[in-house]
Amino acid sequence: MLPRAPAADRVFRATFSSLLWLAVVLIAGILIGMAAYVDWPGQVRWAFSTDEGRVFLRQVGFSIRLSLITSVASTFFALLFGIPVAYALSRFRYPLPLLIDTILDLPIILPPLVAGLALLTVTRYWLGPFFDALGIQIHYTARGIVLAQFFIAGPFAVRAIKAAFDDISPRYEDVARTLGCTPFRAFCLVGLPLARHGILAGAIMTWARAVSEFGPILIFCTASEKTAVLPIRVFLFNSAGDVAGGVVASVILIVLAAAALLTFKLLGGSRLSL
Amino acid sequence: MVRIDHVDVTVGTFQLHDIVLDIADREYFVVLGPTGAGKTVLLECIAGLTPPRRGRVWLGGRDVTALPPEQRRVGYLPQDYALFPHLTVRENLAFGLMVRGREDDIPASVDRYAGLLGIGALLERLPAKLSGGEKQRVALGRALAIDPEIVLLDEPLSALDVATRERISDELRRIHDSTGMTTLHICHNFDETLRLADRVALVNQGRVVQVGTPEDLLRRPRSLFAAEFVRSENILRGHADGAAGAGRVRVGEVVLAVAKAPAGPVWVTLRPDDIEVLPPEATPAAANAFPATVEAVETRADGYALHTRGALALTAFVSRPQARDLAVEPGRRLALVLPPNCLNAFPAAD
Repeated sequence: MLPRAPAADRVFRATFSSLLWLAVVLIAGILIGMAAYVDWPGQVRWAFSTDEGRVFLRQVGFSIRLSLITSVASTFFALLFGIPVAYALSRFRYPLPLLIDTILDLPIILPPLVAGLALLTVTRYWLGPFFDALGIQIHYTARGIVLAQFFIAGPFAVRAIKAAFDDISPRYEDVARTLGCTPFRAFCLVGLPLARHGILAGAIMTWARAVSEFGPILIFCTASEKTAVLPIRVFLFNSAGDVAGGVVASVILIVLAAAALLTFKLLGGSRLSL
Repeated sequence: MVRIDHVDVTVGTFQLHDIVLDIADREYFVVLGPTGAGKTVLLECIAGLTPPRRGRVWLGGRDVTALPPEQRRVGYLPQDYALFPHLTVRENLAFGLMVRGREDDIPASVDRYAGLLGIGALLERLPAKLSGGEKQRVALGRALAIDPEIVLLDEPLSALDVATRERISDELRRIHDSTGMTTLHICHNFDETLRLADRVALVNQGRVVQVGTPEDLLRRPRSLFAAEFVRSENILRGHADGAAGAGRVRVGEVVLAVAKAPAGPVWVTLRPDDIEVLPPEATPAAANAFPATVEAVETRADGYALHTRGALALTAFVSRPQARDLAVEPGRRLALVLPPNCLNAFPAAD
């Protein structure tokens, strides 16, 4: 028989473990509690058998589609910018690194409403005449959603992908250089393929972030039917007193977020800081 | 041929000063020095990864100082070899020719180096599945495939255990001899240098301290740092009187006959295994013979070091059979003879 740990050790372990379990139960309980508010079979029957139900289905379907399209687009742009920016941050030295770092992280930390207001002010007032001349409107449109998501998700992508490049010794690229690569080819043939798992993990978290973006979109694009991504839809249902509708849209968001997190962790991305 | 011509490099707070080295074709050249002496910076400078602040680097008669690494034809093996982990052994070997657009030459080159290095059976494996020695051979093959002017080895043996290190260092020398690759190998281990080097440069604090054959460095260190680094063990402070080369050095109360000594204050060094150890009754008439008493016996891999006192405090070395014959133990009286041509004298700096 194994010797038992001393009593003090067991008490310590039991106390800390019970707090861990409490945290797990609390989070799961609150989310499941919300989902349980809806009478799901009844809600489904109602949705498929009544006119209001069919309007509800159309609204939710539109929101899912809009959310997917905008979030994939903003993630694409975030990677397009984020990969070179992250590589530069990881490999090159700059003056005032702390300042650069702080500015790049600022959109993540800012109150989301402030980010939205900043975008609105700049695109509508400062750049308004320019966009008018082009005949494009950005604010209060679905296009603006992509910009709003990009503004937050881009810095997020930079941070995650920089961690991926930091994990890779620059020696690989050094050797590639001596074997005949220009810096850009060494990046394409060695740096990028070696960072691919980290980049993929970063991309998934960036996407999850973009999907759940709400504050900047509310200010920059308003909460309207044509800008109703899933989080805005939750807000619209809830404002109209349709709690069940808000819960349905929320559960979809929870499923998307959980799937993204799980994939991220399976890719070994848990070491990346969020 | 490789020529490092009065090169200064600054990396952060670290500096290399006025480095001058000439490495002949097919030479196995070792740069030896303690950790932090600037050896890796020197390699990076030759590879083109770190630009010099002053001086020129010549490779094969070409001034490459201003060229980026990809235009230098240098084979670079970092300490961990840095095999590309996402590519197979075959793709690693082919990498240099692939990026140079010489696709047609790849099959012949892979065959040649796989055969030469004995890695033919590993071609489809990923680097993670290779042993340390296999990784080194693949990294060498990858570097040799671009037909480099010089192969730069950054402490290739220091991460290995002692038995593997000896096997792999023999293999390095064999590969060097069979390919004729000009090699610059950096290390901090003098034994490794003795096994491998044709010539060696000793560096300390960013400067080249001494250049010569390993035997030269072993027998004739020319600075206190060099003498301590190659573990001369007997390092005596003295004064050489009269004209240069007069060959008499006063150390304390003793006058030593030395084959060659500069005039003025000097350091005299002597390796323990150059001291002749005799029974006390056999005191010969030869120069530099002293009675001595054993103070401590230190066990070494191949014999014993005897720490003695007498007119001079000296450390001598005896083999095991010799130790039995002489019955060495603390308190034992012996006679020590210091052959004048083994005594190495150089000016004391102050």
